[in-house]
Amino acid sequence: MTERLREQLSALADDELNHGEVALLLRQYGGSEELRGCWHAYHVIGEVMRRGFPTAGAGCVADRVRAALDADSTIEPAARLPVSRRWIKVLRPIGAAAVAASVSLVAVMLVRTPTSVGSSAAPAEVVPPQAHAPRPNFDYAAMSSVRWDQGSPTVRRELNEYLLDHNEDAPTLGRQGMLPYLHLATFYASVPSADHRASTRVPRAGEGHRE
Amino acid sequence: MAKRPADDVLVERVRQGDRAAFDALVIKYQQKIVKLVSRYVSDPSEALDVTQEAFIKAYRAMASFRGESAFYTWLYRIAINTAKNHLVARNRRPVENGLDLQDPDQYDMQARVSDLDTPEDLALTEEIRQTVDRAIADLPEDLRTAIMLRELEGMSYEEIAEAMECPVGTVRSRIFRAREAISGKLKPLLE
Repeated sequence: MTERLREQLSALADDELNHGEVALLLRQYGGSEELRGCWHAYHVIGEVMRRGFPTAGAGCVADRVRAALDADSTIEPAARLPVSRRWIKVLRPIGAAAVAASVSLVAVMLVRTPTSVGSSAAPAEVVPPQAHAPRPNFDYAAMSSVRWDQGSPTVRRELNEYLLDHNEDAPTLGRQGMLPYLHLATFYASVPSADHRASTRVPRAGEGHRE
Repeated sequence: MAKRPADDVLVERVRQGDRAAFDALVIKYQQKIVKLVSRYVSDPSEALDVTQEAFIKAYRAMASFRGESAFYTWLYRIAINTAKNHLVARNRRPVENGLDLQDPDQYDMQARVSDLDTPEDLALTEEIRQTVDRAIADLPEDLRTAIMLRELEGMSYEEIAEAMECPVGTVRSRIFRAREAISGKLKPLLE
């Protein structure tokens, strides 16, 4: 037994041992009767110095406890769950969250289905937006279903405007997917009103919502 | 690396399955717990049994120790409950002692010679006490001062270093050498 280990034990008794040293010390301590004897003596010294009266018979308690723990292997600290049970405990809530997320994803995908139909088609000519810039370079009208006359430049321009407005404002309003837009766009595409966009535009945050 | 109270580190190690860490905790607190239990259970042999049972209960219940109180306070409560249950099981009343045993600090202040001690144990206890006193008196002054500031005043190594105007490493070494000198004389009595 080295003097260094005993000095570390002395520091541990005073709460002055670095955390990293404790593990190394305990590895040695577990197999050394002499280190245990030192640890015991250091505490008795402290007890006597503080005018405590050591109980001579108490010295055997540690031996008895150690023997009892060695004799009964079923005695384990409850904190030590088997590895598999520990993982189950950790993974259970994660699994539940994953299932919920999967269900949500499927629901979102189903809602978005109308806009994804025909998405593999080649993009048609993009009508440049008039009022809002910059805009992403998508031709949304080409990606949607054919419930209006896509050949009409007016319709295509309107569709692009609606979709771009929707994309700008939907996140702030908590709206997801294209379905709400499609109803509006389909309806107004068939009504050649000069200024219907102003009344159907999805309101921006803080403007209030008009249906 | 950061220093933490030894109990916290040892408890953490026990929860990771380190038996040696639990053994260190038992040795550290066996004196106090035996004295405490003997306030309830007068028979020396039974008191040792109850103390052993209390430590094993603590070992099993380590998961429920959240660190909200000091480890010793938690252990103290387990020991009291174990002693009370022992008496209930045997339909007996605790030893009258006039102490407030619900308060670990108050108990420690008032605890003196244990009811557990036989005349032989009392003689040995007195011999241990005199041996330690003599060994301290024989220490070189710098070692004696260091260990007294630590054990009696409860000062940290840093505070002692400041008081003795020396490096912290020197304080650690002085306290260790003081303990070595004392335990050299004490160990024959503890074996």
